[in-house]
Amino acid sequence: MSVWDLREGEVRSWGVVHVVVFVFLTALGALSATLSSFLQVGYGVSWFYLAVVVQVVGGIWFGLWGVLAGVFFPIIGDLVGGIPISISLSLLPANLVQSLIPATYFRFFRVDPALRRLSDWVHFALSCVIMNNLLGAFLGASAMSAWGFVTSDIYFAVMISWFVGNVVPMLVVGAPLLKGLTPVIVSHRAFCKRWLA
Amino acid sequence: MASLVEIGGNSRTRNVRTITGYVDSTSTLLNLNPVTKLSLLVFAAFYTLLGNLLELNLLVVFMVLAIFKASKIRLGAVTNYLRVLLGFLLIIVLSYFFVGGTLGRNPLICVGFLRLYAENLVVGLTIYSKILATVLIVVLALSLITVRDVINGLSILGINLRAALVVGLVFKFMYYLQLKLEEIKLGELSRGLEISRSNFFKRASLFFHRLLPLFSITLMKIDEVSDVLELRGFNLAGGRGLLDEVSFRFIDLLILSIIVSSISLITYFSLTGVLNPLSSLVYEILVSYSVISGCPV
Repeated sequence: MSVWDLREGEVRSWGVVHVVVFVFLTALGALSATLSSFLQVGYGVSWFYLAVVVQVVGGIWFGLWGVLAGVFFPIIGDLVGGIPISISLSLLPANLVQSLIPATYFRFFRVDPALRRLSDWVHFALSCVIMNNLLGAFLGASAMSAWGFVTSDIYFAVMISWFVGNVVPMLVVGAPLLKGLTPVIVSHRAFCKRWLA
Repeated sequence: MASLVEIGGNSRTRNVRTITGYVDSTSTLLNLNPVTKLSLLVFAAFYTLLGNLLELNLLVVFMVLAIFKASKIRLGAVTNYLRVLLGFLLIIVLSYFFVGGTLGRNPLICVGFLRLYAENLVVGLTIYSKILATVLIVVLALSLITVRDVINGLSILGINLRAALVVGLVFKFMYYLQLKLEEIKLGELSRGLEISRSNFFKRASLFFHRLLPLFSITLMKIDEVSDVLELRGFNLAGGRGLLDEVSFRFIDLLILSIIVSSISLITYFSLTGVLNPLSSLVYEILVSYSVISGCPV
């Protein structure tokens, strides 16, 4: 029986705790975004974007609430960092895929977030490291190009920097966090086996 | 028998905590209607789309700095954003000054394979000055907005009070988690760990040791806060209401009309092509210089 399966007679419904999860994840993500600015190589591109960890694990553990927080916190974090909302909104698709892909993938293939088996690690690498970050980097670099911050000459350099900046924290921080905290989270009432609860 | 005694002396100025720090409570702009303050953020969002003339952007930068001074906001608040501004500068320099794109027609400087064109310089400076202006407007707005303003402002704009409270809570918890992070950093220091002096890989791996306790604190706080909210009957489906009675004064209407007319004028001039980086006087001066620079076209 996987962590995603409902036990017999188990009824799950969303409540105040999930709204509070959304609030806290948003605050934590916005704070992580400011933490990861220590190795910034231009706006929005950091060699170590710690906030992507909150986007990924938030979506996996807390379903739609985590995905919503993953989309909302960059707007708050950027705003507190002095960036106008219009620029943050253009990066919204990139942030959405970075959080939504792992959340969907883990639920669809019933992957254990505690990463116990080798196959779980393969699924983790595919959905949380490669697919989401590659698409996020493409969408992010395209948005920056549309704003005129990036010319065609350095488009791929920015895209690769974005990708690497997301992959490193996912491997160094995200994987141990999933492995270490999942057993605690799944027993918490806020854990979402479905999208809302 | 006790009686009231008048004691002479100066009362100390009170500071109000806003999203970015503390502001003198006697500041004129601090007492604006929350909607007026939030409209500054809307103006910044529009300006990012439309401010395409170098001279206009520089004028806005100086105006905002003057407002900072007039409304008793410390200019030190801006220094916290230098990292963001330097990040923008780096990417603009890389994009326009080193590699150049396909804009260049009039070369100004040529050193080996590197060439700096007048068009690249003006477009790069225009984009950067636009960002500088908008970042300063956002910092000005955040220096005036309190968490209560966020809740009141969103509520006045017709957003459900519970939803407005949720947004307000985000800012409150950000502050709370920042304090907790400082505690964690002090804990690291007291155990002889100084991340700022470590190399990149060590710093990266040590971030795990910061995020883990932050997640644990978050989990405990989620339980605590949701229990309190449930006990007080919080539910998202309730109606809306106002925390404070807030009204629009003359200064609010004046600022709002300036913002609306500025957005309209800038939109008009952008659509008619007047606000174009290559309409700049600086560009014309640079082109005339490129003729005498001696660089082959």
